[in-house]
Amino acid sequence: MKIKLSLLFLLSVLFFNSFAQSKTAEYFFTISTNVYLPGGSSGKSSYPILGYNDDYKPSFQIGGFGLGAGVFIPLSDKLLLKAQGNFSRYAYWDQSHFLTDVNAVPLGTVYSHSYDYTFGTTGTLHYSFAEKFSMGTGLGFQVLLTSFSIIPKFDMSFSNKDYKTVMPMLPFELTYKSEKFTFSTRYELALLNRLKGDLADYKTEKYSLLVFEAGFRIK
Amino acid sequence: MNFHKYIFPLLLLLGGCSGPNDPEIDSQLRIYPNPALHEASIRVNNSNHEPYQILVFGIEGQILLEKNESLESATYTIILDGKPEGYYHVMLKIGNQTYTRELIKL
Repeated sequence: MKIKLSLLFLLSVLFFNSFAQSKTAEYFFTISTNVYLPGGSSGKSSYPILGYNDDYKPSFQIGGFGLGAGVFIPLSDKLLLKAQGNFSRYAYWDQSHFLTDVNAVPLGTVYSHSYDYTFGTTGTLHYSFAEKFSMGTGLGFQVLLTSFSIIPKFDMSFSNKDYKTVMPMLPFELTYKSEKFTFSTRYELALLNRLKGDLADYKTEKYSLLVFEAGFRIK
Repeated sequence: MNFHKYIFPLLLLLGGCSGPNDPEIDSQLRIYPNPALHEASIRVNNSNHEPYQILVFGIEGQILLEKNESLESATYTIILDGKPEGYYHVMLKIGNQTYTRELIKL
């Protein structure tokens, strides 16, 4: 686990350092919001980026967000390489649960919401199809730092320990880039079952992420 | 005027759902009590006498209980004393159907 994280960190540093040697590299500080999109069979559902609902606690719902940095390097008139890394929170509704008493009498359902805190990185090759607009794809990774679920009814939270730590992602990105500002919409598809252990042999849980990222040029 | 009812849906950006999914109701698998503190029972109702497999997974995805049966119905007890808090996945495979539930250990 530590070796995997160290390797990923080292690769990220080397990747960014390779860009640093280029005079044409443009660096951006990024802020982002995101939506976690569960796979169809997971029982989870998407949590709003920002919402309000009297029926749930908390009534004010604040979803996913992140902070990071990105770099663009032009390879030719039409091609450019983008690398970015971010620390993010992803939020989602967990599957609701039946409550029962000791005699198996149903007591209703209870819901929980979950948060994943991750370090994510992507490297994408972009094609400029119009002035300031480009689209690209490549490879990414999500490193799960911690994940927990909150059950408001019991005012309790639990760690989720049945998820893989490192998840390879397939990103697709649409970017607007000006001299001082970028805006990207990125879809990241998890390439593996996110469950681990014996459970992964019996159940598959896929997910994807939709990220809206604004970048401000720092160099 | 319920101002938030008009404003906040506009802010609900691509979330898709404003609330959690409701669980499916079935009578084949029942866990009680849920949540549980010391132990929990899992009742399987197999009125068709089909072979079935019942599995219980710990919070790190490891198998805690695995049984292959063809009884009409059966009840299994899971001892939770000393086990960490969290979600324990319970899975029943019967015929072509798979039922999953989560047992909450407090």
